[in-house]
Amino acid sequence: MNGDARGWRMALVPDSLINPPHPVRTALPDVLGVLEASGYGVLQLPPPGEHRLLLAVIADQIAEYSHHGYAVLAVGVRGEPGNGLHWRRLAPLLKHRGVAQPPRHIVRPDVDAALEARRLTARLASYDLPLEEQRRWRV
Amino acid sequence: MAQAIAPLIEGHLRQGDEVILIGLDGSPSTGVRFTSSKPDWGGRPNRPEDDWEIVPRRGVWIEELEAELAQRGLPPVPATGWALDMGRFDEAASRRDLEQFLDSREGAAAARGEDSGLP
Repeated sequence: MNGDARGWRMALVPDSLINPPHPVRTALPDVLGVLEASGYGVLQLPPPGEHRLLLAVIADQIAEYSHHGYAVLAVGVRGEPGNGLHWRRLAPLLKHRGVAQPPRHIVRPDVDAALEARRLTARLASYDLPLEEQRRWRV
Repeated sequence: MAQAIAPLIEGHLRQGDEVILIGLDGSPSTGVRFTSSKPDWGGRPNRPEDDWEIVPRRGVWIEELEAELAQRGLPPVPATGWALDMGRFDEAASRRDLEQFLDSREGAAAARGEDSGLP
């Protein structure tokens, strides 16, 4: 696991940020670009709708990362159902797997995109596991 | 996993989106053009102690995903692999390879027009 290009940090990202509908495309900052520049890997969530089985698989993946030294953060989009994060269904799945709720950062399409990009960059830079946990896994 | 992701792929295909599959060539699970094989490996998640063969075949996860899509009556999804698991990784060559694949898809999409080819 040493030298992981994702920098031991993962972001849960709504489908709309990976496959944005055209009207939203210009209103949001380049979240994927910001994540890449910040050394985060991406775990894509499905679009709105019922995705019981897929969300269970995603919860398994989050649990795997969380239990092996990765910091996981969720990046939602304001204005989407549940900010695009499927939290109502995902939260109990994570709890069932003994995973603490990842912190959430919500991107706002109604605010200047450059400003939102800076706000996201700052949040990504400041977030990580406690040093003790980092030392345990990332030697 | 295949049953979890297939409905999403099917939804995209049925609404006319183009879907492509990018695996990790050389991977025993996600290899597309090449996978790793050794007769007595047996599916265990660790690497065999001795060497193993790179063979021109799908990895087991890709096999399962394609079987699930076929079971739903969907056409094969155009697929390629990022050669991350083939030994020495050449990122520049892999990037050129992927760009070539994507360019060929653009040409195919233009020739296909609006027809999704779905039953």
